[in-house]
Amino acid sequence: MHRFWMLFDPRQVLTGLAVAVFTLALTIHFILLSTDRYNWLGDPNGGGLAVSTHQEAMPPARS
Amino acid sequence: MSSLSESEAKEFHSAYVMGFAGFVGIAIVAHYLLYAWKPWF
Repeated sequence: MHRFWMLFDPRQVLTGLAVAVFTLALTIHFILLSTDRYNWLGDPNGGGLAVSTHQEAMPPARS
Repeated sequence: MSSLSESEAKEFHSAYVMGFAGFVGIAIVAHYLLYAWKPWF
């Protein structure tokens, strides 16, 4: 298993891993922030579109 | 091919595995805490 490092240069592998893991972590954190359940910053029952929370009454039916 | 000798590769590999185990340990703790807070299943 250790011979892997005789094939691939550790410096390049570590750099690539750092970039990949950082990008993945950033993506996941922002995905979670975009949800209601796992948003740890916004106000607890905030979020959602304005329309989805408030419904106007139906206009009277035309005769 | 990288310029590492067999012994250098072995030395680096053990350090790499230790680092990776640490990363996995921290991730397990983080996910456990998160699951205790708000389960996702």
